[in-house]
Parts: sequence; structure tokens; C-alpha cells
Amino acid sequence: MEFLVLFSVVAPLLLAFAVFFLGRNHTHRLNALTVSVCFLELAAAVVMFVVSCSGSFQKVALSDVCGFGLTFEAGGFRSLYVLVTAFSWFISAVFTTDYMKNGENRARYAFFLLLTLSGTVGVFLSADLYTTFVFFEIMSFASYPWVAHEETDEAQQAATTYLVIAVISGLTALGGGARWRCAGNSGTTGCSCKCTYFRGTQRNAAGRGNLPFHRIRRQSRLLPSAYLAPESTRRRTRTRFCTSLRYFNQGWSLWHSGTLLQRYGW
Amino acid sequence: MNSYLLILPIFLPIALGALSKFIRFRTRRAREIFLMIPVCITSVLVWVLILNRPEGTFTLFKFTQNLAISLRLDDFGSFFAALIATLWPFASLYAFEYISPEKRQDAFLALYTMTYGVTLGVAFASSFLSMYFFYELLTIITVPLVMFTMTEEAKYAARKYMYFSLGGTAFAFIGLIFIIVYGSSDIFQLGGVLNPSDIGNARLLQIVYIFTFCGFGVKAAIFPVHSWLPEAAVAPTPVTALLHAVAVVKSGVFGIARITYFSFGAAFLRGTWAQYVALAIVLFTILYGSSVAVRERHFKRRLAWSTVANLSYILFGILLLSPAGLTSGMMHMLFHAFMKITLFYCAGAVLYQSGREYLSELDGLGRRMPVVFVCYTISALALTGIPPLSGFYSKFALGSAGVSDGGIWGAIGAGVLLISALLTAIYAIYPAIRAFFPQKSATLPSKDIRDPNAYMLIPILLTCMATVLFGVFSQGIYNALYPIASSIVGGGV
Repeated sequence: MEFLVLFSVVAPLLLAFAVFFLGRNHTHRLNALTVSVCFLELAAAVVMFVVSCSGSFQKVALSDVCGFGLTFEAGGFRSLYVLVTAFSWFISAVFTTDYMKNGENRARYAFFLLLTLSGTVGVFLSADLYTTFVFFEIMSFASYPWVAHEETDEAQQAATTYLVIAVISGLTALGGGARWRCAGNSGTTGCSCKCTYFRGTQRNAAGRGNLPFHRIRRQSRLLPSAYLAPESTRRRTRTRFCTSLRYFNQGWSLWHSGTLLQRYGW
Repeated sequence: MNSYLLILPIFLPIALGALSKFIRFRTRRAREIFLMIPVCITSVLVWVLILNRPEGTFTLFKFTQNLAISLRLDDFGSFFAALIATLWPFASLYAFEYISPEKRQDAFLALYTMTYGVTLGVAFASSFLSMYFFYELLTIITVPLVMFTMTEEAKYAARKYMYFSLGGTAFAFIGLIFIIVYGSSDIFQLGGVLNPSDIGNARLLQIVYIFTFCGFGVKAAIFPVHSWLPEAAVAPTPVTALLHAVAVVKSGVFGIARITYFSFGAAFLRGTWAQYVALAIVLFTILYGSSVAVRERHFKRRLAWSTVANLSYILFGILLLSPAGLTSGMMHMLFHAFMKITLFYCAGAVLYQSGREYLSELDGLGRRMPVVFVCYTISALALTGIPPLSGFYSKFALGSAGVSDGGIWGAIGAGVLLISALLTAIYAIYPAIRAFFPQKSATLPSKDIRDPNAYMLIPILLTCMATVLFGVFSQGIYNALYPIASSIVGGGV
């Protein structure tokens, strides 16, 4: 099970390079490799989910790696979302073979498809804030080329806005995470927790288009543009939602911003 | 090991570099081999000395009973020497190819190799006077490298560099005098050399510290004595990679660390207005350098402004006067060297292959030079501080150290780092975006433009790989540096 957890996170990341180099001059090979990698991921996710259904929760810790160490845990909610993600990615990969048959830069698209898959799975399997942050950033930056994929002026503008929001929200989450870490070290909670939670949820709110970030996204026409990039933004939005819930059990920030958006609708 | 061996890594590149100017080589390859051998031997020798550290001090030259040019290898010097020794062979390999179309490449490569020995002299210096000596020598030997192309721009940049550097060392000289008068000696010692009973007027010494800080701060490009650095971007790229990543600017930072911890002492400075003034200067420099970098449209000058900001990141960590602060400063010194040298190598490769210097000319170059721009992108993301790349952890460590150890100034510093990170994302990633996602209206570059050959590509790939690996193993590096920093901050107690 430990192997499965690490495989789910690392395999798409490493195989993305192989897919890119082996498939960049051969469309059929590219499609076959991309679909195969996604299928492997789906298979791993299914096995993980089945094992998790028996109630077993597997934790994998890679200490002293990437700074504070990375910790993953498979089981329950996490395995379910990895299964959903892997399934979505597999379907998208199959869909893309025909959808983009006349498209350009397909190898680039496939590369970042797999990289974003790795980031997304890493977010769902992460067992601590730091690991979540690391893979959230990987996911955010790996999905940038999707937004800019068409390379039209509209896509470029949307991608620029996306990047700025991703960086700002990443720094916000980082500030909260650092505060959390410092508070954890000093033993204080209370205000630090709320501060961290607020920053964390606002970071994810940025990705979802919640207040007050929705207007920026609307103005940048990010959502419509990003919807042209197949499936990517919707999956990321779902990921951000789930990640928000994981900061704390309470959802008061989400509830408030969602309620305001519903009520006033601007 | 005998301390006499300390002179070898300094003497070898200086002697053979100078000798190479007078030998008539039949082929370019013969010159390259002749110069690469002492560079590689020196690097190996440095690592051997670091791992089998010689005891005691080697005296090169005595002025008086108490004043001498002497060499010694301690933990902090080992750290700096290891960094230089690791990067110089790559820099030389890159320089061989880059400078090959130029005339007078014999003079360039000779001076380039000699600079290696002089920089090691700064690392091995055991006293303020010794470091001052090699510091001045570094200025003298690098001025001709800056003006190498002999354009009006290059001559102006070289003059400015020289005037700023010599002016800075004049300020540093004030510090040297006061340290000799008020301290037990000018030899670097853990905890500083000031005699508490002799200090008397502490405020005067704090003023002198600020003078000395600004003196060495010229090479560390602190505001307002920073402007020589972007001007020096006119120099050939191997020189700017040296100046902006390895030798000169890191020598400035190294010098400030030496005077802070080994001459004046952390205990003397901690909590004083001198510490706060120095912190204020570096925090302003971070914001200023990052802001100007965003505006800058010239590719190499943009990276130079980035260096102005990042050197102050390192100084921020050093000036926190805490183990965590110094450790994070040293980490960023190491990581920044590799990140920035990769970025400059990439900019140099673009200039070399396509002649393009400005950001507006980069459209679509990522398609023609994919290896160069992938490495550029990775290093730019690392510089921005995106995990799991190296820059994230060093910046996080700096911010954490600021919040936990720096009081109000540390907290302000953490905020400044966050703002600077945003600006870094804008200025560092933008060239990659232009290269890989050109606007539809842009004309793609000619298909004749491609990635450079192995001489330039190998250094780029290796330093880029190091950037990634440092990120993965950052905790191990932090754990290795922390005891060194603790010992330095604690004054050897």
C-alpha cells in the first residue's frame, strides 16, 4: 500500500518526461503513452480505494525531503478523491486523443497533463499542510500551460491573470502556513489558528472564484477561457474546494463567501 | 594536513593563469586544456583541504609583528571555498565557448583563471587585513574583465565598478583601523575580537560598523551603492555569471559576515541601533531591487537587479544574528549561487546563439532553444520560491528565522520577503512565458537558432540539476549548516 501511495504521486511526474520525449514526434505513440499512464494511475487508485474500504489507512512519510518532509496518507475521503481524479484524467486523456487531433503542441499538453495529475493526487493524498502546499503549488504552476495553450491574446491574458492570482494566493497560504508552523512551535494556538485558516481558505477561494476573487476572474474571463482547456479548471476548482475543507473542520469562511455570492450575485 | 598547503589553491590558478598569457598555443583546445587542468586540480585540492582541514595558520607576509597576510581554513571559510570550488570549473567550461569568437581571448581567460585564486584568498583569509588585501586584489583583477569588450558602455561600467569598489574598501579600511585599535587583534575569531574593557565609546564602534558594513556592502550591492552591478551586465556573460553569482558579490556578503561575527561580534551588535540600521538598509534594497527588476527590459540587467535583491536576502539572514538566521542566510547564499548562475548562463546562451538581449526579442525562442529555456524556467521557478525547488526552502527559512528571532524588524523582513517573492515571480517567469508562449502576432525566430553546444549546455544542465536536488535535500543541507551557524553565532561557546 505504501508503494501504491508513492506510485500514485510520483509515477505521473516521472513518466511525463518519458511521454514527452518518446511521443513528441509520433502522435499515435503520444496518445497511447498518455492514456496508458492515466490508466495505470486509475488502476492504482482503484486498488487503493478498495483497500481503504476495508478501513485501513496507510501513512507514508518521507522525512527530510523537500525541506520539512512530505507525508501522505491514503484512506477514506482521500482515496475516493484520488479515484475520482484518476478517472477524470483517464477519461480526459482518451477524449483528448480525438479532441486535439488537429491541435498544436500536443506533447506539451500531455506533459503538463501528467504533471498536473501528479500535483492533484499529491494534494489529495497529503497528510499535512506543508505537503498540501507543495503539491498545490506544483498543480497550480503545472496547469498554467493549459490556460495559455491556445496562445491567443485572450489565452495569454487569462494565463497572466491566472499566474498572478496563483502566486498571490500561494504567498497568502504560505504566510498562513508559516504562521501555523511558528505557532505550533511556540505552542500557541487561538488567534494563530484562525489567522492561518483564514489565509488558507482565501488562498483556495482565489482558485475557486469566491469573493472577492471572482471579479478578478470574471474580468479576466479566466473561467470561460480556462474552460476551453479541457477539464483542467473544473478539476482544479474541485481540488481547491476539497483542500479548503481540509484546513479545518469549520467552513465558516466558505459558507460566508458562498452565501454572499448567492445573495448579491455580483 | 600542513597549513602550507593553503597557499597552493591560491597560487596555482594565479600562476598558471598568468603564464597562459605568454604561451603561444597552437590550437584553442590546447589553451583550454592548459587552463582547465589547474582549475580542476584547484577545485579538488580545495575539497581535500576542506575534508582534511589543516591546523593552524599559514603566514604569507608580515608587515609588523601584529599585522600579516595569513591564511587559515575555518568552517565559514570552508563553506565559501566549497561553493567557489564547485562552480568555477563549470564557469570556465562555459567561458571557453562563449569567448571563443572574441579576439584577446588569451587575456580574458588568463584573468578569468587568476580571479579564481584571488577569490579563494578571500575565503582562506584568517584576518581582516588579509581579507582586505585579497578583496582589493579581486577588484583590480576583475575590472579588465568588465571592460573586456572595450565599448564605451563597458569602459563606463568598469570605471563605475572600480570607483565604487575602491571607495567601499576605503570605508572598510576605517573598520580595519578601529578593530586593530579596540580589538585584541585583527585575526578573525568566533565571537569577535573587541575587548569589552577597551570599548569605552560603544556608539563610536557601532558607527564604524555601519561604515564597514557599507564598505563591504558595495560588492554586496546594497542600496545606495548598488548601481555598478546592473551596469556591469554589459560584460561578457561568464564575467557577469562570476560577478553576479559566485565570486565578487558573494565575497561582499562573505566580508560582511566576517566583520559581523568574527570582528565586531554578534553579542556586541545584537539589539543595537547599528543592527537595525543595517537591517533597514537590506530590507529596502530587497524591495528596491525587486521593483526595478520588474521594470527592466534588458534580459541580463533584469537578472542583475534580481541579484541586488537576493544578496540582501542573504544579508537579512546574516544580520538577524541568530543561528537560524545565519543558517538560512548561508543556505540562500548556496542556493542563489546555483540558481543565478544558471539564469545567467541561459541569458548568455541566448545572446551567443541569437544575439538577442531584450525581453521583447525572446518571443518563441523557447521552441528553438528548448533545453536552455527549460533550465531557465526551472531556475526562475526556484528563484521565485516555488516548492519543491531550492529557493522555496531558503526563503521560507529566512522568513521563519525573521519571525522567530528578529523581533519587529524580523517580522517586517518576512513581509518584505513575501512582497519580493511576488515581484520575483513577475520578473523571473516573464521571459520564460515570452519564450514558450509567444503572442500570435509575434514572428517566430529563425530555425537556424538552436541550443548551444556541450561546452555551454553541460554547465547549464548541471547547475540546473543542482537547483532541483538542493530543493529535494534542503533539510539535510540545513541540518549540516546549522551547527556551523550555531557555533559562529554563539562565539564558539
